[in-house]
Amino acid sequence: MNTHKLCLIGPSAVGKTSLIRQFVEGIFSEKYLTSIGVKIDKKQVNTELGGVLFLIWDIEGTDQFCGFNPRYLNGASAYIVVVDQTQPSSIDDAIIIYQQAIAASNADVYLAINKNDLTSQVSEQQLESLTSLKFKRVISTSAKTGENVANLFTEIATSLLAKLS
Amino acid sequence: MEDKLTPILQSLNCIAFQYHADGYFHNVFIDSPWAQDLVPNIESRPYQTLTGHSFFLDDFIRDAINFWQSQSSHLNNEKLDSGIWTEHPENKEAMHLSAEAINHPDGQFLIIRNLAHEFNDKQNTLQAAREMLIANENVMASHQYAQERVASISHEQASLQRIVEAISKAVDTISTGILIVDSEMNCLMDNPAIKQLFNLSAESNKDSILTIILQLLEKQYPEFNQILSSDETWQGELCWMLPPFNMKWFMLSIIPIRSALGKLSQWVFITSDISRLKHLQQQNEKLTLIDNLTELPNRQYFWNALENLIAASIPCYIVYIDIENFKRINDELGHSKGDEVLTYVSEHVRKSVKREDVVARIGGNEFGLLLQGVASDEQCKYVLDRIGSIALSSHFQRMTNNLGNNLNIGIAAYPRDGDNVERLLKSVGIAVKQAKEKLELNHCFYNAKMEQEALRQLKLKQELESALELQQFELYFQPIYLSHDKKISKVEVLIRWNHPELGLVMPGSFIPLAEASGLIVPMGKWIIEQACQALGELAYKGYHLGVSINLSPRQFNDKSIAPFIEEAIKNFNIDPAQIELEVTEGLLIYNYDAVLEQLKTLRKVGIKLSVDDFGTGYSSLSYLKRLPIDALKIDRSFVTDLAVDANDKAIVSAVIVMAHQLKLLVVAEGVEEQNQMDFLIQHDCDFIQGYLLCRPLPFEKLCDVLAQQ
Repeated sequence: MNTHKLCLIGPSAVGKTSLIRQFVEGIFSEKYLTSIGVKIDKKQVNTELGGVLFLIWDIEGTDQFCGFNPRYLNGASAYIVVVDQTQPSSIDDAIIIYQQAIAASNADVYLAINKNDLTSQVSEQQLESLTSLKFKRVISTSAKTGENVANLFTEIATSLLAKLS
Repeated sequence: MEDKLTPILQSLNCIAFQYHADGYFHNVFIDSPWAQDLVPNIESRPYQTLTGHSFFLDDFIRDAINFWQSQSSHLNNEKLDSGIWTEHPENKEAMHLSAEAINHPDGQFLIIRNLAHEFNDKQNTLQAAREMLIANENVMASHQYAQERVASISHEQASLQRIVEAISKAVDTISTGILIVDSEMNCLMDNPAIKQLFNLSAESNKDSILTIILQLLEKQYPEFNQILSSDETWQGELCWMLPPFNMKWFMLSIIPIRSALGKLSQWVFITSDISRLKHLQQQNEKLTLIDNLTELPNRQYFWNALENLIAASIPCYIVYIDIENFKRINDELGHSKGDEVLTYVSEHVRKSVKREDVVARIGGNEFGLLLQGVASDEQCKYVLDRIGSIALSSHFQRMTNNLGNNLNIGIAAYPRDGDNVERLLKSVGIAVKQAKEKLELNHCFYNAKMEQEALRQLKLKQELESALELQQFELYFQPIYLSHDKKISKVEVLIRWNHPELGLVMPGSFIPLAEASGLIVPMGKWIIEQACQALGELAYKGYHLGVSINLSPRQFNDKSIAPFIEEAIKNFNIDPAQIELEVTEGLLIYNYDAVLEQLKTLRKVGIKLSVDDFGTGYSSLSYLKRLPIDALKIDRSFVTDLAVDANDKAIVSAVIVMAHQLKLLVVAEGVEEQNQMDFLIQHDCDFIQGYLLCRPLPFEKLCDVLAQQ
């Protein structure tokens, strides 16, 4: 079984933990509980190319209380930048985090535009400035409904296996 | 010794290992109940790799080994911190840990701490802080949305009736409270949300909401009437007590709406409930009397402190400090830079006064000080000079990107300038306003004359609003002569106000008021229309002249100006090349991209552009050449001393030569003496304007002069 480290990074309160909980346990909670530091979950993903064991690093959101620590990306096979489409400021913050992340890691970068079950408050121009960055894939997700959550992880697993083969 | 260390290490709730270069660790201290949960069988293996038990720890050990092997860690005795992570051992409670790799002369150590208690504290604090951030962003986003909708509707709609209808339609379903009143504070409309905010039924009278808001404003913002008379957008927070137990906090924006003639027609009140935000702020150990950014007391605290001093009859100086052009820092350098500047200024001010003096943040870019034990104005000036020195410091200038930010300081004294809070805040408000207007001073002490002048200005401003409607303005025309044959080539239009009591008022007395209130935009359009009409009449009489029209910064930034000119040109059937717009040098040197875009738009209409007051700003000719302009007007201050000042001679002749090389025409204004004109002609200045040749004239007199020519 191939084991891969996969990190979720992004501003605080965008739903990183909720995406992981939805993917790993199939649970969503409306209550916001802020993450502190790092928590690692394991989940196996089966694809047409074979199975992958993901070590999913849920990393505390970046904001004025917590900076981004690029060291957490060491050894990661891929990482997901998560933003919240109901929080316009999360887009600007994500651009900065992305730039810090790509300076520290060559791993594949994915963008998850989360909370797609709610109305977007982000302007097209603002979104364009983020999506024009070099993401391997941009995907609109909802940790609440589960839309595209499993797809995102399966796609990352498939891509990593394809690379190996 | 080891016996003594054990309880200490136990109380630190940590375990420790010493690293050996082969990738193995030696147990130093493992006497903690959770050690076994992190590294199973830890006691039976005194010498081990520590890996294979925790994914996080495995990663950190790899980083730690790299760190220990790096040269820099040996030189600097550094530490490497893992940050907090969570482990969830099977069938046990989660552990919150952090690890440190330490490089010490005695060896390389790995310390792992269990942060059970610290984690909970941190979680609680950050939970409240982040909830506050989210709540703040949500409130600000919907408040901002309502404000933008109102602003855009009031710009788009032509008639007042339509503005009210359009706003009413747009805001009916939004959760932000909206109330529109006329200029006499009579309620015109409200939306359902504002009734909910004030716990009123849908059928209740909308006047009752207005009464509540006005009463709160009067009590909590003693300077409120002054805010209203300034006719500018205002934003603040209101606290509403509902006896016996409830309290609500509101964010309130008050926005003036003007008619096409620039007269104030309505006020829009936009209200958002920020009670939850305030509650979260309190939870986050930030009292409601403290400003979150600067950690200084806020305006409420400041007000209470002043009230206490008055109650105890303690004399004091009340000082207001306003950071000039602060909006430009936010607009051009970003809000985080704005926050940095506010923090820097607050620290500087705090350090400039005694520990017992009150320093508060009382507005977006305003600080308030209460100075005690200061015996005289002279002594007070020493403190003000210390505070004012910040603007001169190179660090502040670098921080603000040399945007020309300064501190404007107003001062009032208790009991000399008032015996209650309201009166004193009014006095100090007048003083700071005066400081803003007087460029040569950065601080002003309140005096009664200032207040009379402020009242006179206010009256003038109110009269100015009706002047356009009452047709009290008149255009004068000052001829501009070709220097080689002294023939009139063009005229500059200058506005005069035929005031019913004061007689002919010169523009210097009312243009700044019009610019500040926004009245300059309709006034400027009137000037353009009248100038085009005059050109049409002159053409009919057989005179084909150009006309120079001054464009103020506010007009220049008005997107509707280019289409308006285009229409006026069509209506009066004149050649666009006959119109020359004059913009000041100061306006051009900031925000190059926006200026260039607007100049290009104006240029597309076919009109000419010139730079007024050249030499007073800091632009270079090469910079101006990159902009689509045709001519320069040398500032009159250089022309005045031309006969006697060798420097001015050198500057003027150099400007003419360089401008010609860049294919720009040169106009000299303020020419009043023959020797000035001789010098200008001798140095090939293209145009001459000034009292020596002709004063500004009413239209009929201009026609007479042209007929004689």
